[in-house]
Amino acid sequence: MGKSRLLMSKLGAAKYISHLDFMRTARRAFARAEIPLRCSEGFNPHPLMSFALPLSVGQESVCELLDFETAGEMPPDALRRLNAALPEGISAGELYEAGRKPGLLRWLEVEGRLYYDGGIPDGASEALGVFFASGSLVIRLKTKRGEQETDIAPRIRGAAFTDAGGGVIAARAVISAQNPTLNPDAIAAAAGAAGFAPDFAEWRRAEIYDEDMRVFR
Amino acid sequence: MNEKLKRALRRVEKPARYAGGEFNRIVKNKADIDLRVALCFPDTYEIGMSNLGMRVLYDAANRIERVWCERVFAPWGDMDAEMRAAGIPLFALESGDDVRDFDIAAFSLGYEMAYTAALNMLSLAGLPLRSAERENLTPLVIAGGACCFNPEPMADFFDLFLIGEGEELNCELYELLRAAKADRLTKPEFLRRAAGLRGVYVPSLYGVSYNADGTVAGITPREGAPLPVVKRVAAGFVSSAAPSGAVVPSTEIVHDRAAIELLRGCIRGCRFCQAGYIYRPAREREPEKLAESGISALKASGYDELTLLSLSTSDHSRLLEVCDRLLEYCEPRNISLSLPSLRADNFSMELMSRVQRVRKSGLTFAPEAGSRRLRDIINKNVTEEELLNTCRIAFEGGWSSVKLYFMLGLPGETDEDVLAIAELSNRVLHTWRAHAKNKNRGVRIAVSTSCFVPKPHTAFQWSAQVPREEYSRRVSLLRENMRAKSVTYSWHDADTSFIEAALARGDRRLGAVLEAAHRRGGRLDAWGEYFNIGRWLASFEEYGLDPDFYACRERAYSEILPWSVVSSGVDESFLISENEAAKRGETTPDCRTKCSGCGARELCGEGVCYEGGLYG
Ligand code: SF4
Repeated sequence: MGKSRLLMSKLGAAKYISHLDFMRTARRAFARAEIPLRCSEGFNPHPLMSFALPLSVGQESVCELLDFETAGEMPPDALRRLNAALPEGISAGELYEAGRKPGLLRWLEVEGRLYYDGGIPDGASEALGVFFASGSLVIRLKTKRGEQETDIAPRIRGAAFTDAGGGVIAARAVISAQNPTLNPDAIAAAAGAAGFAPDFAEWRRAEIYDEDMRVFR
Repeated sequence: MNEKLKRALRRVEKPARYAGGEFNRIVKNKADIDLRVALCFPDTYEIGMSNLGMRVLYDAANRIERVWCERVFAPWGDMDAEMRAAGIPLFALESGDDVRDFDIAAFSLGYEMAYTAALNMLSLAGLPLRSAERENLTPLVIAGGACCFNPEPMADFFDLFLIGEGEELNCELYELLRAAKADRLTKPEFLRRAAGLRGVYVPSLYGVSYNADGTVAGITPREGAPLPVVKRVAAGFVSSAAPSGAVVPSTEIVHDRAAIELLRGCIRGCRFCQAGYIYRPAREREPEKLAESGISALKASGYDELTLLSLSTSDHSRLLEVCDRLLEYCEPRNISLSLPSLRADNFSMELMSRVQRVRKSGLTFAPEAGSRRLRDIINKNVTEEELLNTCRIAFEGGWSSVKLYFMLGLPGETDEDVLAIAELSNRVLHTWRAHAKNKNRGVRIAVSTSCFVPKPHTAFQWSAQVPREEYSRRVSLLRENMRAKSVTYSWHDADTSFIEAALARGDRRLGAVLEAAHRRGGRLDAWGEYFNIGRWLASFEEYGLDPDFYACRERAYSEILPWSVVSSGVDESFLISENEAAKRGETTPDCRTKCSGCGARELCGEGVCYEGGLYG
C-alpha cells in the first residue's frame, strides 16, 4: 500500500490540542478504527505518519493534511470508521492517495477575528487594508536568532479587513505556508504596529495552495 | 465555550487540559437529567485523569439513568490566576457548567497534600469552604478515597464522607439525594437520612471533646449516627468486569495507557502500609474477566499499552494465565503489557518472559528496608536472596536498569539498617557484573528513599515519625556510603513528609489550620513548586497547634484516636498485636498462607479469607 492522505479539520475545543498531542490523538484514532498503520523498524517501532504543516495551539483549521501508510489493505469504510473514532472537533473530510509532496505547499489562506473590546476604532478596517498594501510591514518577530525586526510583507500575498460588527474586524489573508512560515498571529501584531492592536485575535486555516495558487491536496 | 474562557486559554500552559471534548467522555442531554454530579479531583488533569478510582466512579455514575457525572480537576497556577482575574468560576469539563450549580461535588481524597487543592477548588467554585456555611441541600459537597479513613482534618468542610469502596456506595447516595430533592428535604434532614446508609460518615452528627493535653477525650454521635462508621466493600469484585470505556485524554497525562484493576487489597500485611489494611480483604478478578476487560479497554481507547494495576501484581494467583490471554491480543498489535508493583520474591522467569515480549521498560522493586531485621519488623518478607535472584533473572534476561525504593525512619531503624541499603545496592551491582547478558550497555541502579509517614489504621498508627533533622542525618549517612558510579541515590524532602504526617493523623482542630494554609496561598501542595513549609508552620502556630504533636508523638494504646470514628473492618486488637510483633521482630504470614483473623472477613463474602487458611 502506498502513502495515503487524509484531509482533516480541527475546530472548537480541539484547537487547544498541541501538534504532538494531535499526532498521538490521530494514532489512537487509527487504532480505535482498527486500521493498522505501517510502523518504523527498530527497537521502539512507531507508526509512520506526519502532518504537512504543524498548527499552533489555539488555531483552528479545515485543511490539515495527514500522510500515513497502512499495514494492510485500506478498508472501504475507512473514512467512516475514522470519523467515529475521533474526538470532538476533529474530523476527516477526504481520504485519497498522497500525490504531491507536502514540501510543494506554498500558500495558506487564513481567516481571523480581531476583537476590539472598546469597539472598532473609526476607519480601522480601511486603514488596515491600506497599511497591509503598503509593501513594508516591519514588526518584531521571534526567529531562531531571538526577537528581530522583520519585514513580513513578502510573506503576505494579500490581506483584507472588514467590519463584522460587535467590535470584531474579520480578516482574511493569504500568507506564506513554509520556508519561511508565518504565524497568523503576526498579522495581529502588524495591526498593532498600524495603531490598531486588537485585544484578542482568533485564527483559522481556511485553505492551502501551491506556488501557482492552485488548491493543494 | 465562552469568550472569557477562550481568552484565558490563549495565555495558559497546556490549555487542552481545560478544554474537554476528549474521546469517550460522556455527554448527556440535560433535559433527561435529574441529578448532576461533579467528580472533583484535587490535583491537575494529568494526575487526576491517570487515577483509576476516577475512571471507575465516572463509569459507575454514568451508568445510572438520569444521572450525569462530569469531571473537574484543579487548575495549574497560571489558569487559577486567569480564572480569578476574569471571574471564571470552577467548571466541569463535559458541559462547561459551573460546579456550584451541580447537585453534588464529590471529591476524591487520595493523599493529604491535596487537601489545600480541594479547598482551593471550593473557593474557585464560589462556594463557602465550611459545610456549616452552605445552607442549601445542593450542591452537596462530599469526599471519598483513602484519606477519608481519617476524615477529621477535613471534617469542617465536607457535608459527608463515603468510607471505603465507592462503586455501590456512591450510587446509593446519588439515589438518596435524588429522592431528597423530590421530597424537598432540608440539608440537615437529608444528612440525618444519609447517616443511615452503611459507610456514610456525617461529621456534623458527632461531637468531639478534648483533654487538657490535646488528646481526644470523647467522640459522641447524635441522632442515632453510628460509631464507628464501618467501611463499605463493593460486592462481587471477583467476577466483575473492569470498566473499559475510560475517557482518552487529548493531551499527555502521567499514566497515559489503558489500565485494569487486577486485584484489590493485598494478602501481605506490611505493617506500615495503609492501603494493605484499608482494602482488606484481598480479592482477585477472574482471568477470563480480566482478559475480556483488558482487550475491550484497548479497543475502546486505542492505547498501545495496557497496565495491570494492583497493590502487588505478582500476587495474583493466576497471573501467568492472565498475561498469556492478553498477550495473544497484544503481541501481534505491538501493544505492550506493563506490570507495576511486582514483588521481588515471586518474580519468575516465566513472568519476565511475558512482560518483556513487546517492549522493555525498567524494573522497579520496593524492598522498603535495607536489612532483614528491619524488613521483619515491618513484615515486608522479602529476603535478600530473593531480591538478588530476581535481579539475576532480570539481568540475564537483558534488563539493565533497576529502581529500588526504601523508607527511612521506620520504627526501630538503626544506623546499621540505613547502611544496609547501601550494601544491598552494591550487591545488586555485583549481581549485574556477574550475570549481565550484555555489559556494554552498562547498568543503572536507582535507589530512592522517602521519609516514613505513620498512617491511621495501620500497625504503626501509634508510632512517632522521626524528626526532620534526624531523617536528613540518615539521608546524609546513606549518601556518604553510596559510592558506586552506576548507583544513583535520590531522596524525598522531609518537609513534605512532616506536614503529611501531621495531617494524616490529625484531628478536627486541623480544619482551621488547613483553612489558614489555603488563605496564605496553599493551592497545590503536592507539587514542589507550590509547597511552602513556612506557610504551614505559620498556620499551625496561628491556632496554637504544634505539628510535632501530630507527627512526632508516640501514642499510647489507651488514647482515643481521632480516626477511630471510622473502622476499616480490621480489629484494633489485631493492629496492637501486629505492632507488638513488630517490636519483637516477628513476622506474620500472608493471608494465603494462614489467616491471622484480622476481622476483615466479616466485611464480604469473597476473596482470600475464603480460600484456605483458618476457614478453608
Ligand atoms: S480475615 Fe484472615 S484472610 Fe481475611 S484479610 Fe484478615 S487475616 Fe487475611
